[in-house]
Amino acid sequence: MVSKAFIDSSAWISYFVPTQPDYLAFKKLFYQLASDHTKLSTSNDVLHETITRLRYDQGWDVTKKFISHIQESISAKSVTQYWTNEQIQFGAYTILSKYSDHKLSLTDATSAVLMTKLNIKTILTLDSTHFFALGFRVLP
Amino acid sequence: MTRVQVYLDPKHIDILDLLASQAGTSRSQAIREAVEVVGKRVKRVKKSGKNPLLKMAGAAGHVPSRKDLARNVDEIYLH
Repeated sequence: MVSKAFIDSSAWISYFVPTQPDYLAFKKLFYQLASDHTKLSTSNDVLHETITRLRYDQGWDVTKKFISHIQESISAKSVTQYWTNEQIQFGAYTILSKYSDHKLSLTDATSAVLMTKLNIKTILTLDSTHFFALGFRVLP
Repeated sequence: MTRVQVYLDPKHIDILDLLASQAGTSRSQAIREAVEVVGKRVKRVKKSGKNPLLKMAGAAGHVPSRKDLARNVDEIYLH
């Protein structure tokens, strides 16, 4: 059983868009984690990536639905949104430098800093290579 | 406590006897404990059903989308 997990943009999109190849795997996972009362979290950077991706590729109506669902989930405390700040961004630069052989985005790096700070060892993502290299457990 | 009569399959009686003997208790106590466990699980599933996060599953609908939409999120930086 996982007590805490972080949600990456690839997980949000896979879970929200039913035509994605990994939709069922993520649906099963989210339901399992909800049943286990796992504390789920994400970040403003991750939501920025997710919303921008949906906005560019799926249009405004789909994006609007995601924003509505995520706002409701945050209000109900089903998921916690953590905010990056200057200190986290500086920490992310250190990670980008340390893992310069990996194609990490700044958002990946701020996620890693937040997870370390919050003692979250598990991430829901399709980006298993990078986060595994950073020392996290990857689901599904 | 209320006396209740139930019908069980032989295989369920075997399981019940095994549980009771392992716990060093009676069949009745084993049934009470099993009901307690299942009851907690049902409550948990019921509670999670009210979770708004679960309503998000597939909520985008069956709109046409690229198969790599989730996998290649970093493409947003190329726009």
